Amino acid sequence: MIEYHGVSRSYGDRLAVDRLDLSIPAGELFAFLGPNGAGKTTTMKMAVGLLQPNQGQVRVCGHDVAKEPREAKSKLSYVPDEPHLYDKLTGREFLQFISDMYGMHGPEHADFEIERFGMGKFIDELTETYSHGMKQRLVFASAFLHKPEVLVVDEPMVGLDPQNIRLVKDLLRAQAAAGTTVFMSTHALEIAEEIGDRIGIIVGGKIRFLGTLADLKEKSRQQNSTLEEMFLEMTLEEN
Amino acid sequence: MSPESPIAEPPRLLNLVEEARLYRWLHTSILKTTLRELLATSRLRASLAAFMSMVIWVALFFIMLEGFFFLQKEAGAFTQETVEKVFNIFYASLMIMLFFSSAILLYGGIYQSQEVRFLMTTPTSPQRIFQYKFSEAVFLSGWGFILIGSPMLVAYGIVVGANWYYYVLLLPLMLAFAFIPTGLGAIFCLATVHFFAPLRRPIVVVSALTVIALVAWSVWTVFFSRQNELLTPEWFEETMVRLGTAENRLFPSWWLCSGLLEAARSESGKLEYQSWAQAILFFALLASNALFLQMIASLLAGRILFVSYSRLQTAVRHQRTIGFRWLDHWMTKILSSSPTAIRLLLIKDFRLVRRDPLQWAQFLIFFGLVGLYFLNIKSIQNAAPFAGWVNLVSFLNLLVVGLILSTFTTRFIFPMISLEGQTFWILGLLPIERETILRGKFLFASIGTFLPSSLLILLSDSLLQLPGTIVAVHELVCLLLCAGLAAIAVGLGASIPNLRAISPAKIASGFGGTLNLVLSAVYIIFIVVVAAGPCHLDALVGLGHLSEFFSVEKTQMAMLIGILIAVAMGIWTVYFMLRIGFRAFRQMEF
Repeated sequence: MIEYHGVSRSYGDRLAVDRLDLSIPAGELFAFLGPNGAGKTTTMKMAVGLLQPNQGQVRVCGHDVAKEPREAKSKLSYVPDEPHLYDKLTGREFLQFISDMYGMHGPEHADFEIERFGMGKFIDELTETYSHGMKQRLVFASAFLHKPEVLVVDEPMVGLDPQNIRLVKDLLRAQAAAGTTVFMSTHALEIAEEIGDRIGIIVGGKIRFLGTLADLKEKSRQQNSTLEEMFLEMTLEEN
Repeated sequence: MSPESPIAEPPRLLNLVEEARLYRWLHTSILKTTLRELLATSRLRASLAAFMSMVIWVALFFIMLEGFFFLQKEAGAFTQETVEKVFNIFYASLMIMLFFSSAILLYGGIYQSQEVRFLMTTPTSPQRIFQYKFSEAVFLSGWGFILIGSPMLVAYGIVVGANWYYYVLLLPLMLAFAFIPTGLGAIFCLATVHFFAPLRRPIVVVSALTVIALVAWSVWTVFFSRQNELLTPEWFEETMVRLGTAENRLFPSWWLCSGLLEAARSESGKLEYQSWAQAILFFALLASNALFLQMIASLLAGRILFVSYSRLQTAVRHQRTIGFRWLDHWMTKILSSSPTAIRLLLIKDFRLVRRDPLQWAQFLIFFGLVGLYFLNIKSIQNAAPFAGWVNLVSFLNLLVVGLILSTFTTRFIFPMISLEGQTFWILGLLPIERETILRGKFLFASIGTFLPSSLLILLSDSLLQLPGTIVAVHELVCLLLCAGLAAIAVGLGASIPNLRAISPAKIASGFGGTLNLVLSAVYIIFIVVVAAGPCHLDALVGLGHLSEFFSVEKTQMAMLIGILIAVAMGIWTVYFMLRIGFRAFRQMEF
């Protein structure tokens, strides 16, 4: 699970995340929504150790990310919006590298993911020749190699074709169903509606809404508006 | 899709040895693939790079060899003391350069790299990430150091008849030394980012000013504040004394020089003094300090890498203000009579170059250095060994300016079309002929290079007090060079663009860029030799040289014919290169 306890992070004088308290339990797919610059990516980067909080504590599976970074990172996988791949490695070599990094030697781990993601046709080519969809498959395969307890995914659908979007959606749902904590950021309300167990809306570094889809629908019904109208109103307030 | 992997082996954290092995594998795999690809797809580029490196090494070696022989036989200045002084100054300068270059390389390699951003989200230890990038910095700064430093040392060994172990110890001594400034640069980089992340810009400016001040002080000391005539033994002695700070015993460069000189020293025959043992002692001193600094840097990285990375990413970023708008107004006024499309394209390119300091800074450094040399040309004239010396120097100056221009057009003008390729749909949809775009770039490159080059040539020629005819021919050659080189870069850039690459440096170092550089060099040599050669021959004959072979009438006729051929060649090059560029550009799809 991921826990944020009173976490704040600023960029100079600008507060990007303001005293955030949030807990995402195992087996939940948490959809994190908000406009550009709302603090989504900053919040996620603190969970994966790229940024450190000014205040508060972020814990992954009980490990403080700032104090026990290696232990925390060994439990999670991060799929950023612009993932990095080594151009001069083949997909198979990249998977082997990740597998070895987690002390899981032998080719069987990589072979399983290659099979699962249907990458057999291109896996022995250099990753510099891959299309965006192929790269995204490889990135997800590498993220699942060590069976992470926590999966942090930043804008996973950007630039994907409908088939790959379906694949990613199914994959994230299946991971959550298998007990993985899935923390996904997205701009699109319909994706959150479709696959999220719980939704968080962040605006100006503060959580504006936290609850299930049913809670969100109930709130919009009370306000006599559609989900989209309510979401836009919520995010426009700050602007 | 089943999320369940059948494999039961649980993940675990690697220990330091396993991590080291894994990252060594990563480096080796990437290197092997890169080399294999280079040999399979870019043989010309690889061969040219290897050939040019070899040429540079061999040229440096022979220059040094001849220099050492000259000092030994003719000048009588080849004493142990002199050699020590020269070596210490040389390696102290290289040490400072290595320190700054490794600090910059590590800053880019760690704090600006997508790869490190990825590695930091994995359970890799910060020490390993640092070591991984540190070894890259050592390699990148070390190979240049060895390429420049080794020819002098091999030449020295031959001249003094050094022992065999001198050659064996050369590489270990140099390698151990290279680690020290790199380690210091790494510590400086880590500490600066950690403690002064919001002040990184002022720190870079202060560091750059320090380097400039050091260079300026050295140039001033050597050339301007001297008491003796330039290029005399007294001047040499005076310079050595002034730069004596380089011989400080605490400098690793002194340890390196002492190790090298001890290894090269002849055995005294006494048991208590053995030169090889002394050399190994200095090697041990260098190696232990190198390892110590690497360990300190690694420990520091273990403590502060993640925190410093976070601090840098969240430091206040000042919005880049767009100053110097008056330059655009000034440019618009100057170009007011030109066609609107050309004017707009020229102003756009001018803005892009102006707002990219990398482009004009390199241009400024290159031309600044040449300008500095030209300003000091009077001293060379005073020390001229023969009457035609001035002619020869001015001729070579022209060639130097041309070759610098060719590197500039290859690095900045050639990639322009490829870079437009990323957003080619913007230009492709404009209601103008595509040729106009290329014409705009050609004019931009020609005018942009002609203004500074012609001024430099004028400066050099006036300081050398050359006759008006030679100055006029030089200016004409300069015009032909700028127009021809701009046409080659624009024509080839449009014919063989690299639309996938984002970095101009990568585009310039590809096949197209290499071809551009080679063609430019051939063009420069042809134009300079054909147009300026007869002109200088005429001047030499006028001074009474070579008059037994050539008459004044003949040399003047050769000068006229040479100029006509060069002009014809220049016009044909511009026409031909732009034509092939136009044809390719018209067919380009987006």
